[in-house]
Amino acid sequence: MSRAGRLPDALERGRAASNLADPVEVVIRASGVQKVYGRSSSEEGGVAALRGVDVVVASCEWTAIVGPSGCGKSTLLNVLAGIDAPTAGTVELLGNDLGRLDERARARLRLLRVGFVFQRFHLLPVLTAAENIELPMAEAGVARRDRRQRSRELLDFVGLGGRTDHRPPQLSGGEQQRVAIARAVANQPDVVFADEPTGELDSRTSAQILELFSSLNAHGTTLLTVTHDPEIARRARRVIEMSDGRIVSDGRPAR
Amino acid sequence: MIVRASLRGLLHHRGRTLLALAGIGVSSALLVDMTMLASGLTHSFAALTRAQGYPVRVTPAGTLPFDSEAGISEAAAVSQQLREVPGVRSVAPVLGAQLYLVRSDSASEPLFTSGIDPAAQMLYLLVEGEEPGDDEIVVSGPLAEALGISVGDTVSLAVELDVALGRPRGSASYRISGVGDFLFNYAGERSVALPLARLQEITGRSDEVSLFAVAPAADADEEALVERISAAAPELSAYSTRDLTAALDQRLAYFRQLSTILGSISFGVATLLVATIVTIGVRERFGEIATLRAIGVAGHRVQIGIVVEGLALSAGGALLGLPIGLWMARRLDQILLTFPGIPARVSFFVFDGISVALAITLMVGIGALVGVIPGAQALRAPLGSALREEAD
Amino acid sequence: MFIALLGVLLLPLPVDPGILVERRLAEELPASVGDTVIARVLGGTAERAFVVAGIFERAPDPNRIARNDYEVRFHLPDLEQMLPDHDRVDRFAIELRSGADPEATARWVESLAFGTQVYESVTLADRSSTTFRVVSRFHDAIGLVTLLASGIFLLCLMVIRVDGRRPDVRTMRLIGVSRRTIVSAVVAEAVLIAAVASVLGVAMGAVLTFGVNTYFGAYYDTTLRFAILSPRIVVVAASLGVALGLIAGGLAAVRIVRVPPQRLGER
Ligand SMILES: Nc1ncnc2c1ncn2[C@@H]1O[C@H](COP(=O)(O)OP(=O)(O)OP(=O)(O)O)[C@@H](O)[C@H]1O
Ligand SMILES: [Mg+2]
Repeated sequence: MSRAGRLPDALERGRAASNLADPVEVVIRASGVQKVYGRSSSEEGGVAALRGVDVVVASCEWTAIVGPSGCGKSTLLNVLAGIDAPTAGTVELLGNDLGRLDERARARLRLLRVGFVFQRFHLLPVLTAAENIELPMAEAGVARRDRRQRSRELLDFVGLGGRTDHRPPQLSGGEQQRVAIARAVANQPDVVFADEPTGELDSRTSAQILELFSSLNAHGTTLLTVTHDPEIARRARRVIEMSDGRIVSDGRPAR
Repeated sequence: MIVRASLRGLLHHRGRTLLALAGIGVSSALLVDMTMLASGLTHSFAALTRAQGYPVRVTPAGTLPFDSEAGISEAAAVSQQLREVPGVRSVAPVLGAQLYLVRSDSASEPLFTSGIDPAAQMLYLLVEGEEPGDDEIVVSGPLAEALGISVGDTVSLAVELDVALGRPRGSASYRISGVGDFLFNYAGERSVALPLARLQEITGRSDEVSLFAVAPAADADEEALVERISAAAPELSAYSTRDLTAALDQRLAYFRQLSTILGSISFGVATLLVATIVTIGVRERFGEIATLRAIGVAGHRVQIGIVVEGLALSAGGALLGLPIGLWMARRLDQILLTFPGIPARVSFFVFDGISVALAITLMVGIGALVGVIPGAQALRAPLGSALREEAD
Repeated sequence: MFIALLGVLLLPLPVDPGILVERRLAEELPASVGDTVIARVLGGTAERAFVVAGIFERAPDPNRIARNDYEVRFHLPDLEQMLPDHDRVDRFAIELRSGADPEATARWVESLAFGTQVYESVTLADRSSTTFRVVSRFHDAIGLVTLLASGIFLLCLMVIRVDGRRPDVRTMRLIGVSRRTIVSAVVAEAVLIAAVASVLGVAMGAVLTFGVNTYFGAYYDTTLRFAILSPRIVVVAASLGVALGLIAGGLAAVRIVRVPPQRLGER
C-alpha cells in the first residue's frame, strides 16, 4: 500500500470545490425513522428493525455506527443511503427528501453523489477490476478515455495498480474490498456508506482499508461506516451506538 | 459496460450458452423448414408451370390438366380461336396418350406419350438432338438410359395391346430425334413425345388434344388473359398459374397445415427455451441486479442488459439454425420427393427470404423480450432484502 | 364402376334406370332417393336421366383424400352405353376359391390374356400406400429433430439448475456426501422432470390428436383418422422421455461432481 493514501487529482478538485468550502453543510438529516420488516405494524409479527431514529450528519464527518448484531445498523445505513424506504419518518440526503423522490431519481442520486461499500463486496464477477470501477462512471456518462484513466488512478490509489485485468474471483477478499471502495468513489461522491467494510478481513488488511478511508475522509468525503472493528470506531470522529433499533449514545469516542 | 457484462456472462457460462444456442438452433431450424414447407411446393410448382413461358392452361370445362381422360375436340379450330385472343403470343397443344414400347424380348411396357407441336411446346427441354419430325420422337433421359438408346436409333411403339390376338396392335418404328428433359416427369419416369398430328392419327383421336398451354405476349397480364380466353371459349376452362397453384394447394392442404402446426410448435419451443434460460439467468443474478441498483444504475439500463442477453442467445441460435435448417430442408425434401407422381423438378421446401425472415425475427424478438418480465420482478424486489439475499 | 361426374341436373322425368349417389354429392345437389338426375359424360354429348336409387357413404380411402371428387355408381351396361367405347372395362376383380394360389392364378391369367396385368390385392395395397410410407418417413424425421431439440433443452435446463446449486453441492461434498449420492439426486430430478413432462406431453398429444382429427375430418369431410395416439406411442414417448432424463441428468451431474469441491464456490 505504498502508493495508497493519495487521491487521484480528479477527485481532489471536485472535493475542494464543494464540501470543504462549507464544512458545516448537512449531508444527512433523518427524523423519526422506523423500519418494520414483514408486516406493516410491529405488533402483528413484523420485525421492528428501527424504532424511531433521529440523526444529523454534517459534511466531512466520519461517523461510525456500532452496536450488537441485529440491532438495526445495516437497516439504518440502507435507509439513510436511499436503498431501503423507511416505514415511517423522513430522510433527507444531500438536500433531497428521499420520500419525495421516485426510484429513478434516487438511483440517479446514488449513482452520482453516493458511494456504497458492502460487507461482501458485491462486485460483478464477469467484469475485471478496472471494469467494475468503470461501471458507475459509464452509467454516469463519463467518456471512455476519461473513465479508463480514472479507473487506473483509483486502482493505483487502492494499491492494485497491477491487477486491472483480474476478475473478482481471482482477487483476495481484501483486494476485492479495495476494488469495491474504488468503485464507491469512482463518481466522486459526497458521501460514502460502508457496511462492515472490514468485517471479513484480517487485521492487517483491515488496517489498509482503514488507511484508505482515512485518506478519503481527509480529502473531504463524508463517511458513514457500520462496524464491529474498534479500530475504525477509534478513527471515526463520531460514534453512534445502537441497541434494539434505537440510538443509545452518540458522541466522540473516548481515546 | 452493462452490455459487456451481459455478453461476458454468456461467455463465462460457456457450457450452458452453447447448449442453449444448440437448442435454439435446432428449434429455429425446424421453424425455418416449416416456413419453407408452408408454401414451398406452391412456389416451386408455380415456377415450373411458368418455366417455358406458357403459364396458362386451357382444358376441357371443369377439369384440371390431365385430371381426366376427357379431351378437347376440334382442336385445330380451338387453337386458332385461342391464337386470336388479344395478348396471346403462342399456343402449345398437348395430347396425352398411352403407347406401348414393343420389345422383342419381353412383354410391352406402357409409356406416357405426349403429342406436341414441335414449334411450340412446353413439356421438355432438349438435352440432345432436335425437335421431332414425322416418324420421329423425343425420349426422356431415363428412357434413353434404360434402353441404351440415343439420337438416331429407332424404337417400335404400339397403340394398343390386343388381348384377343395376344400381340401389340398398330406398332410402328420411330427414329429418336432428341433426348429431352421432361419438366413435369417424376424422377426416373420414362416417356416420349412426338408430333401431335401423328399421335392423333395413330390413336384415332383425330383433331383432339388434352389441353392447350398458352404463352401471353410480353406485356399481357396473365389474369386478364385468362378472363378473355374464358370469354372467347366458354366450353373450356382456362387456368392461370395462380389458379393451378391454388388447386394444388387445396390438394396439399395437409402439408401446409402440418407445417403450420409444427412451425408453431418449434416456434413455441424455441421461445420457451430462450425464456427459460434468460429467466433462470435473471433469477440467478438477483443479487447482482440488486448491486447494480444499489450503486445507482437505472432500471431501464439493467433491462437493456437482460434484453441483450436474450437477443444474443436467440439471434445466435437463429443464425446457427439457418444453415441447419437449409441442410435439413434438403434431406426432408429428398424424403417427400419420393411421393409417387410428384414432378422431380418441384421442391417441397423453397427458401422464401421474407417469410423466413419474418418467422426468425419474431422468434428473436420474443426471445429478446421475455427476459424483461423476470427483469422487472428483480427490479421491483425490495433492494435491501435483495442485497442481503445475495450476501447469503 | 364410377366416373367423375359433371353437370348433374335435377329434373322431374319419367322413371329411368337407377343410380347410386355419394352422400356428399347428394347433400351438395341436393338430391334424395327417388329424385331424377341427368348425367352426361365429360366431353361427350349423350345425356341420360337416372333415378337416385340410393345414397351411399364412400369408403374412407386415404389415397383419395386429396383428390376429393364426388362419386356415383351406375349399372355397368348403363355406363357403357354412354361411353364411346362399348364393351370395355378398366379392371376386373377376381374372387378365388378357397385354397387357390393367388400368385399362380395371377401369372396364369396374364399368360391367358395378353396385355393384362394381374395383381394380388396385397400388392396393390402395398403400392397404394407408398404415399403414406413417405409421409410417415417424413414424420419420423421431424420427430427425430424434435427429440434432439427437447433433449438439448432438458440438458440445458439441468446444467443451469445444477449450476445454480453449486454452493449446495459444495457444502454437501465438503461435509462428506459422496459423488454417487449427488449424481443420483441430480439424475432422479432430471428423470422426474422428464417423466412429468412426458405425461404432460401425452396429454397435449391427446388434445392435439383430437384437434387434428376433428379439423381434418371436417376439412375433407371424412371419417378417416389422421392422428392416432396408441398405447404403443404413449409407451415409446414416455420411455424416450425417461431416457432423455437419464442422459441429461447424468451429463449434468457428472459435469458438477468432476469439479473439486473447493472450486465449486467460484462462479
Ligand atoms: N428482510 C428482512 N425481513 C425480516 N427481518 C429482517 C430483514 N432484514 C433484517 N431483518 C431483521 O431486522 C433486524 C435488524 O437487522 P440488521 O441487518 O439491520 O442488523 P445489524 O445491526 O446490521 O446486524 P449485524 O451486525 O448482524 O449485521 C434483525 O433482527 C433482522 O433479523
Ligand atoms: Mg449488518
